[in-house]
Amino acid sequence: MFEQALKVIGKLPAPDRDVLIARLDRVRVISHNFGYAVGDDMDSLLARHSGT
Amino acid sequence: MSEAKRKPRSQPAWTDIKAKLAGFDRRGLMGLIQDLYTAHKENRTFLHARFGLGDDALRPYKEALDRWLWPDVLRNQDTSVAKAKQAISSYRKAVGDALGLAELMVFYCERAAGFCNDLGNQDEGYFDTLSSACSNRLSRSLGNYLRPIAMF
Repeated sequence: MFEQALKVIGKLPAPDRDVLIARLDRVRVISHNFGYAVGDDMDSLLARHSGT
Repeated sequence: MSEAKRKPRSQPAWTDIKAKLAGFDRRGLMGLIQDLYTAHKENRTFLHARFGLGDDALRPYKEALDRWLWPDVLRNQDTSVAKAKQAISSYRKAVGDALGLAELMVFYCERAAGFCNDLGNQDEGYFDTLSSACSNRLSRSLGNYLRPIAMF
């Protein structure tokens, strides 16, 4: 769902996109607590889709 | 093909409904839609969202996400990734605007991650309050749960 959200967010204008990306970034940080490499996957996905 | 050998269709399809609707006038269609509106909560949610009625069209979909992604385990509620995804799919069919969809998808991630994090931060006393069946179901849920947060 994280990746699906990034794909949809990529179609939005910048102000909406930035707010939602910031929320997903908080999810990414939290997800490093979970193991299963979930946080690592989110690092890669966010970097790929947000260009950071 | 003879009548006897013709294979009956097991399920009616949209084309069958369309043929029936062709005979309805405006009043008949309004009555039918009203019947659908009163028959199921999901139909009301769909129509409210489609026509932008109410102060927040996303609210019922968010309530469904909340219910299925952050259940009250002390009340023996279970998680369901499928039902949570169904809420997003229902919104896509009712409205499908990119901003609303993105909001629901981000909310999905927040609730799923929040629930996992909340459980991870609980002390042992919290888990002692859960029945063993509930604990087992919870650990099974989390196993099924963590991957879909990241991947669709």
